[in-house]
Amino acid sequence: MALLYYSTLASKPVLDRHGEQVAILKDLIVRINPEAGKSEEKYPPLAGLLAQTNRRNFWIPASQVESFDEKGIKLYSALLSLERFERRNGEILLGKDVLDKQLVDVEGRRVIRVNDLALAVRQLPHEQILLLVGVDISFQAILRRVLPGPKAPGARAISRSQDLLDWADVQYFASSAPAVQLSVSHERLAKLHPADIARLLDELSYVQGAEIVNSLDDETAADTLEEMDPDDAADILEGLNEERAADILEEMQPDDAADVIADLDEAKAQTLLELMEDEESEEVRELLAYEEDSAGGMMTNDFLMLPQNLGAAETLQRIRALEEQPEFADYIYVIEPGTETLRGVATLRDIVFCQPRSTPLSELMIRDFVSVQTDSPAEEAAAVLSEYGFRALPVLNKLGEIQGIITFDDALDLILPEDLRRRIPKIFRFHGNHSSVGTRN
Amino acid sequence: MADKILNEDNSEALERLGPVAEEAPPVKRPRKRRGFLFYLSILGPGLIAANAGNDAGGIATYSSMGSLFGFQMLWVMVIVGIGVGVVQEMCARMGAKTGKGLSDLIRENFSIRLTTFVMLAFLVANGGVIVSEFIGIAAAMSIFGVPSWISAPVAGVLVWFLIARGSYARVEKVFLALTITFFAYIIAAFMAKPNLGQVVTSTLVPSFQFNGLFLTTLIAAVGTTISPYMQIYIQSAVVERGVTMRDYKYQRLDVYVGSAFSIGIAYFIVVATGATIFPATGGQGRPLDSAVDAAQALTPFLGEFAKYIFGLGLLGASFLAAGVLPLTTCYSVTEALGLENGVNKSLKEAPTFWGMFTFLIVTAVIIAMIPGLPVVNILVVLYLVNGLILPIILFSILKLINDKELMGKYTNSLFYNILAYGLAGLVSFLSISYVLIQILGIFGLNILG
Repeated sequence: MALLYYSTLASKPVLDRHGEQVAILKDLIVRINPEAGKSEEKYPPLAGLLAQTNRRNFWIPASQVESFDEKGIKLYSALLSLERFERRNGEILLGKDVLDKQLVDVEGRRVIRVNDLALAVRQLPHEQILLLVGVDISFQAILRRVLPGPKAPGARAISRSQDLLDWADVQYFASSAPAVQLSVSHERLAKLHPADIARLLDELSYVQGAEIVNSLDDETAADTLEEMDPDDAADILEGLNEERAADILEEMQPDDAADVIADLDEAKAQTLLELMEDEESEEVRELLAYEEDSAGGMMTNDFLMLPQNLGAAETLQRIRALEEQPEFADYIYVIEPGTETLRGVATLRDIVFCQPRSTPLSELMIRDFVSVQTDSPAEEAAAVLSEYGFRALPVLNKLGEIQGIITFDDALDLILPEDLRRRIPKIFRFHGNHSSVGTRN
Repeated sequence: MADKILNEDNSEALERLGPVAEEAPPVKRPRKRRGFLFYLSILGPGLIAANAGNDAGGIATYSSMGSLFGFQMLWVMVIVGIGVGVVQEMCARMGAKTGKGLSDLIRENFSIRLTTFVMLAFLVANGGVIVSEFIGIAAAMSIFGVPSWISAPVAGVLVWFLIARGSYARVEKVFLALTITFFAYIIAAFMAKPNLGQVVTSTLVPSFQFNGLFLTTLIAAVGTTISPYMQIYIQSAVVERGVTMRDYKYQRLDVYVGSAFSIGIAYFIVVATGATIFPATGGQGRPLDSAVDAAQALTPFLGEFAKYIFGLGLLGASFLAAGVLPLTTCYSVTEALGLENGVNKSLKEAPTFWGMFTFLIVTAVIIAMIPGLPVVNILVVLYLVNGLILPIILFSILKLINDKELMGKYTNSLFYNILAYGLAGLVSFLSISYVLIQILGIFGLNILG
């Protein structure tokens, strides 16, 4: 299957059956989202040509095309019906909407820019169709377009195969073609790890970011936003419709959701909190009462809390009966029955392995636990966590009642030195793919 | 329910929520995010971009305006000041609306040939300005008795490492703080007791001299103040900070405050030199040999310390620009051409980015090390290139900002367009005249004496 490059076709003559030039090719129109049902059709097929003659743009359907090559496009008919060109939903112009735009290379987990597009002709029994098959991101492609002369290199001129990406491996943005309505599937992108998606979003504009997040399911979207800087996450939520933004916030960890909501406009925050389920919005509102850089601002209120007179077996039963699995279940916070006064901390391991099965929590728990106050500085809480090597730290109010916990992963950002955090993408460069997904500085 | 509360009596769980819900749960963190603190946190790109404009070339130009023509060119500062504010605001608005840098927008909306041309011109122009920054650093250090063959390479290594290691942001504030010493010009201007009536009249009423010197000084003033790199820098900084249209009003304030601040200082440099050096020549005016000459204007205020204070300010401004420029240049050029970039990429991953970055700094250091450099001549060539590219950038910005598909309802208003097109037209006219005069000068033709 020989490859044709868009840049070698653009501005070439359109010839009629007799080989007479009737127009100049201005652009190629493809259907971006072929029906999912049509089996292996992962490449967008040509829908038509945008041609120009006498300074007028008109449309030629793909079915009229007899052959393509670098010398020009030959049509079956001798007569041209000058159909006025109009944008149609689901169709994009290769030159205007794809070339020079940004795409995501899903395989390489990076943002790329389209330097040229590769097309291939597929022969069918009665017709031939032109498909958009690849994206050329090589520097040669730029030279080929900038420098005059007919030295257009063919497929073999591409020095590294990684410079020619399969169209099936890239992700197109509907926002690149604002003139039309497109429904672009972001299925492949959604399969990446949320941390990878978050890093890609960091490199993209917030408009493109909102498009991606919009296409993810609530849970993946929530995981992705949790990985992002709260202010950037807030920018993306702003771009979504409010119902949807509220749904995503519900799925997020309450502490992360609170950080994001705190970065929104007051009116917007109020609206979103009202749209959220009562239970989730209540959790978030509780956390919003604390200052961001205090232990209260860093804690989550999603944790396990049980009265101290409960037996081990019954404890496990109650945990299993929970509707939603708690994010953090390593420690069980043991309270005075009927109050929220923290009496001790028990590890899940001790509860699972203890004998006899009826041992009350008060005997399994560690009584001299370490805790911080809600208004302690966040740095102090993080330092305590790392010093004692705990996986979580309870946060108490002045009365000794437990208000929430700080888990080690949330504290990690404060513990890691800034230099190291910056270098993490570099350290993990060699994992997985050939290319790294660097954050932009 | 707030917690996974597993008390025997489930009603207790609800009790716990009771009091919280009653006292009208807060929507916002107690800290005032959108208050003054928030403004301070967003404050920056505009201030830095505008202040980097008061670098070696800028100070030389503003001082020359005063020493050559007294207060006569003060009105130019008003026009240039409005120009800087308008142009930078447009770029900041594009950044906030699209979330994309200027070079990305140029690449996506203009032909590839035009993009390549603009990027090459941009590379050459910025390369020149980087050279002038290192000359400025060397000149500032020579005031403290450090010869350029030591200061320039040390500065080069410092800048390279600060940026490559990603630690530049931490020292940026130090350089910014150093430029505060230029406030001395404001005090010096008042202490020189200028004729206030004359200052006000010259500021409000334009007047011309029809000679080559006046025209070149005028173009230099425009070229140093509205430098193409500042537009690219401010837009990418806005994008980098994740400013969107919802925080835009703060960003716009930053741009206007930054512009007003830097132009205010530039204005007082002209007043100070116009009130000290110019009268000393008996109203004849005299050209300055170097940026250091400009320190004389501070003598009425600072006496013998004038040149040291001036040296610190010059050092800060030159470092500020030297830190911003190489990275901005390499990012925008490689970004527009779709090449790998980023300081967290290795040399193998992003060879062009690192090669260009290193080349720009090394070249600038080598040129700044040359003893007995014809500084003024070099600056003239730099402004020629900058002057050539400025109209291209200005018209590109205008085309993009008025693109409905791109900017939606945030395109320019009619009034703003009149202002911006007027400015772009004026700058183009001046630049083209300048280039013509330079070219004719090469052939021995002298227009305007």
